[in-house]
Amino acid sequence: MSKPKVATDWLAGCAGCHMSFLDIDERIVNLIELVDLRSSPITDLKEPDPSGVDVGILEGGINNTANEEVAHKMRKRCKILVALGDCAVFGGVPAMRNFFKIEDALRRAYVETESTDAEGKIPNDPELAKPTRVRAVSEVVKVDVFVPGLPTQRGHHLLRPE
Amino acid sequence: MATVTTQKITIEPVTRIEGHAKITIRLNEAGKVERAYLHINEFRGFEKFCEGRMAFEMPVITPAFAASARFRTTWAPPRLVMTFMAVPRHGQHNCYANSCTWGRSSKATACTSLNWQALTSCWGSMPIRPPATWWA
Repeated sequence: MSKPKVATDWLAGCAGCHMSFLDIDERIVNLIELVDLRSSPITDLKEPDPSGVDVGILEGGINNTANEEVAHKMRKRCKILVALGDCAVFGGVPAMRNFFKIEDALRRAYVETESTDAEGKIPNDPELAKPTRVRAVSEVVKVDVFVPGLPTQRGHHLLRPE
Repeated sequence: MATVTTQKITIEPVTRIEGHAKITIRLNEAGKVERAYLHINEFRGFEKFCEGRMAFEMPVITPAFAASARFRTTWAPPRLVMTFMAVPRHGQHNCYANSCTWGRSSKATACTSLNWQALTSCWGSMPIRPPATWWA
């Protein structure tokens, strides 16, 4: 039986869960013997295989339309979807932005901050994704496994049934 | 991976970064580069939602900015908070924590705590001082 394929990606998170995944240190060698790690932000491949992977892991919540697209793509191409970390499971720290209006947050960051000169303006290029309410991954796609933690404790990644 | 349409080249995602970025290069009709953009597709609004929070919550909130920031943003906010809350540095003579009896000897007011971890017992469980007070 071939090794199960795993793809990961990060959304509106801090990459801490990926870092704590790397914190399993030498045990990653044993993990790679059992599992085929395909695409992830820390490997060369960047998109989950079009032919599908077995396990998809998403870190970080959904906070703009680009994250929604990535979540939908991952859900379509994987059999088991794992939400890794507090941000993916229920929104996490970035969800604190939901207490404010998005326009206020953008204005504070791009126009009003003390380190911005008088020409500060909010980026509005059509290429950019539109910020939305910060949501958990499960509010956008169906999630099979939830692994909370801020960040997830190293070693928890090994416990999950692959 | 790069996609090329008639007037625009998109390189997405940008690798070797924490976060999301893409590059679009707009070409004019002659096929020459007209504009090139670096788009950062990530905005979370820390500047706004930290307003109104308690100062001692900052060491918990700001490390969530990026995983690589997790260490340095865990020490900088507490030192700032320490300055505002008048937390004693080692040997300081005007500690306001009057109820602290740790490290005080015979009613002397200088904080003689030699073990920085000992301070966690007077200010709760948050470690607030690194072993070396090189910035104190």
